Amino acid sequence: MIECVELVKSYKKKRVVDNLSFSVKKGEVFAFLGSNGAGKTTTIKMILGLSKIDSGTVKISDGICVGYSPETPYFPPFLTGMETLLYYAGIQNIPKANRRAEALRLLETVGLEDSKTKVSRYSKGMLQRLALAQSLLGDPELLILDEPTAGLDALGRHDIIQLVTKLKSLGKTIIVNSHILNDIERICDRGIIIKNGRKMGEWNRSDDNQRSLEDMFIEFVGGERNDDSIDRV
Amino acid sequence: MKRIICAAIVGIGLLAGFFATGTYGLSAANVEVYTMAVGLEKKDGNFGFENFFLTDYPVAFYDGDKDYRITSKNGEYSVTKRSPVINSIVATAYEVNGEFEVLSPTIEKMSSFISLMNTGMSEYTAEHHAVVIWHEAFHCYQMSGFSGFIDNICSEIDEQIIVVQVDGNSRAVELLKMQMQLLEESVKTNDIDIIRENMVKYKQADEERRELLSESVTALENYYTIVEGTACYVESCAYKELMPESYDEEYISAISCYYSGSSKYYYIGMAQCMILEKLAPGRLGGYTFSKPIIELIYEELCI
Amino acid sequence: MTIALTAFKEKLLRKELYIISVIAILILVIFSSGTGTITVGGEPITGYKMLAPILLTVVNAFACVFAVITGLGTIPAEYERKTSHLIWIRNVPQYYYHGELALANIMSGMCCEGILFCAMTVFIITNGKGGEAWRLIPAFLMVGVNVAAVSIITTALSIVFSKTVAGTVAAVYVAAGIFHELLLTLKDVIGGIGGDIVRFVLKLIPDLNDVQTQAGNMLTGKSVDLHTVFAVLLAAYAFSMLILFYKRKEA
Repeated sequence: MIECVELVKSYKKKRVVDNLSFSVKKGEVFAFLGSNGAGKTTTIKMILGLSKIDSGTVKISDGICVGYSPETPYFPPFLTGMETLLYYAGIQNIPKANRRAEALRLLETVGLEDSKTKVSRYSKGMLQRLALAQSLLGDPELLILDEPTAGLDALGRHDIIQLVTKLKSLGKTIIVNSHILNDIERICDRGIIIKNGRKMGEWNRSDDNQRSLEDMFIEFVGGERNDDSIDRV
Repeated sequence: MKRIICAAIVGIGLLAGFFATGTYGLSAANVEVYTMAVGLEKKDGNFGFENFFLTDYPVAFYDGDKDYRITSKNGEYSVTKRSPVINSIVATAYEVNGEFEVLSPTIEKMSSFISLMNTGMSEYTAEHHAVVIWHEAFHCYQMSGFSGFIDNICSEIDEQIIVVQVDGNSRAVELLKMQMQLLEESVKTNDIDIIRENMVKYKQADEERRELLSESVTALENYYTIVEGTACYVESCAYKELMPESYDEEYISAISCYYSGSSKYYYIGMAQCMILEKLAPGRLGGYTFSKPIIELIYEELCI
Repeated sequence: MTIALTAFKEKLLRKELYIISVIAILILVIFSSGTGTITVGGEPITGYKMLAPILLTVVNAFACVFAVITGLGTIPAEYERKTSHLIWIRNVPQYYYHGELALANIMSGMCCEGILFCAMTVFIITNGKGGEAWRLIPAFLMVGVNVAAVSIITTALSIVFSKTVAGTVAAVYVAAGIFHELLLTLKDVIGGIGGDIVRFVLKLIPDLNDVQTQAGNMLTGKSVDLHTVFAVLLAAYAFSMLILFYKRKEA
C-alpha cells in the first residue's frame, strides 16, 4: 500500500528524517515508535503531502482515499460535532444527501452521541474522538492516526483500540503513531522504531522469537529514557 | 490550465476597463478652464490694461507627469506635450526658452492641493482656476514688458521682512489697518468727495507709517502692492465676470482684512486699481509699473 | 464556499468587527448631529453635500483598517493551529483554500462596511434625503472595491510573509493609497531622485482616496469617474495572483 524509500527531511540544516525506508502492506496496522522528536510526525506529514520531501520517495497505491487523525486537532470552536463533520464532508465533496446520515453514523461509531455540544466545550478525549470521526469520512482505505489514544482515560483507550481492531477487520490499512507501547502491542501487526530520524529496528507481532516491544524500545531508543519515552498502563 | 485562462480573462477585462476609462492627454476639465479663461478676453486689451492679452502667453498644465502646453491663435487652440519644466504645485509665471508662460498644475491637482492645505475653500472649480490663470498671465505681461521698471522697485524680496518689521510694529499695523479700511470705503462709494477725504486721511496715515519703517521695507511694500496688487486686480475682474454672486465677499470685503505677510498688499494694490479706475477710467491702460498706483490716485485728486 | 462561509462565520463572532463598528458609528453620529460640528474657514458644515463625503471618508478608513486587521491573521492562524492539515489531505488545492479564506476576509470587511453604511443611511434619511438613499448602493459597492482590494492585498501578503512583515507592508500600502494625493504633492515638492522614487512607488499603489471621492460624488449626484476604481481592481488582481499561484511547501 505504501512504500517509502530513503526519505530525508531537514529543518534549518538539522536532519529530522534521515534516509528512512519502510513499507506498509495492505490491511495491516503499522506502528511508528520513538521518543519525542524522533521524526515520526514529520514522516507522517511527508506521507500525507503536508511537508515537502527533501529527497526520497513515497509511493501510495493509486486511487486510494486517505484519512488522517492529527494528534492535536483544532476544529472551529463555534461548531458542534455534527456541524464539524458536515463541514469536512462538504470540503470532501461527499454527496449532500448522504452527509447527515454519514456524520451521525460516525459520531455514534466514535462514541460522540451528543451532537449538539459546541466543540469549544469538548474535552481532550472528545476532541480525539471527533478527530477520528472526521478521518473516517468518505470511508478511506488508508488511515493515519497520530497518537489516537493520547489524553483518553482507560475506557476511552479501550474503545479506540476496539474501533481500530474493527477497522482492521474491515480491511483498512492503518498507520499508528504512538508512544504508548501497550496500545501498540494490542493493535499493531508491525512497526518500526525510529530515533533521530533513522530506523533503528523493526518489530513484528507474529515473530515469536522477538523480544518484547519494551525491551526493543529501550535498547534502540535507550539513553533518552524519561517519562515520555515509555508509557505503560 | 483552466485557472490560468480564467485569471487571464479577468485580467484582460480589468485592463480594458482601466484603459477605456483613462484620460489621455490633457483632460477635458483643464481644456474647459483654458477656454473659460480665454472666453473673457477682449479685443482691445483686458481689464484696463490695453496691451494685455491672455492669449499672448502659453499656458502649460502639469499633471504630475507631463506638461500640456496650450497656445491659442485666432480662436483655435493647440495642445502639445513636453517634459515638465518645473513640478508645479501652484500656478506661476515662468520664463521658458526666452518666453514667459503660465505654468499651472491641472485643476485636479490644484483641487487636491487646496483640500490638503485646508484653505477653507469649499470647492475649487474651473472658474477659480481660470481666474488664477488670468492672475499669472498678468505676471507674464509684467515680466515681458516692464521687467526693467519692476526690477528697480525693490532690491530684496523677502516676505519675512514684512512679517518682522511691518507686522511686528504695532503702531504701523494700527495705521495700516486704518488705511485698508479707508480703501474699502472708497471702493464701495461713488462719491468723489468721500473718496478725496478718505485719500487725504490715507496719505497722512501713510506718511506717518513710513516714518516708522525703513526705506527698504517701504520699497518691498511698493513691490508687492504694484506687482501683486495689479495682478490681484486683474484676477478680481475675471472673478467678477465668472462668479459675480460671490465677488463682494471674496474681494471687496477682503480689502480691510489684515493678514500677516505679503498677502494684504495684494488687496491693497487691487483696491488702489479699483479706485483709480473709478476716478480716471482707462488710466491703467498706460501704466508702466514705475510708480505706486496710490501716487496716480493722489495726482488725480490733486492731493 | 464551505471554507469561506465557515471562516466568515468565525469572524462574525470576533470582537474586532463590533469594536471598530461602534467607534465608527460614534464618530458618524458626532459629525452628523448637532453635538459636534466640523468647521471649514470658521463656518460650520452641516449641509448634506458637505458632510456626506466626509462621513464616507470615515467609513472608508475604518472599513479598510478592519480589512487589514482581519486579513492579516486569517491564513497564518490556519497554519499555526494546523487546521490546514485536514484541508490539504482532502486534496483541496492551495489556491482554492487560500482563495476561500480571502473571500471570507472580503465578506467580513464588507460586513463592517455594511454596518457603517447602515449608520449613513440613518444620516441620509434624517437629513431629508431619503429619496436619494438608493445612491448608497452604488456608493457601497465602490467603497467595497477598496475594502475588497485591501482584504485581498493583506491576505496575499500574509501567505508569503510573516505576520509582522505582511502587516507592515499592508499598512504602508493602505496608508499610501489613502494619502495618495498628498504623496503626489510631496513628490513635486521633493523633486529630484527622491521625487522620482516616490512617483515610481505611487504608480504601483492605487489611489484609494479617489475611489472614496468618486463614491462621494455618486452620493451627492455629481459625475463619477471609474478610472481609479479599475486601478484599484487591477492592484487587487495583481495581488490575487499570489493567492492563485503561490504554493506553500509546508502545511
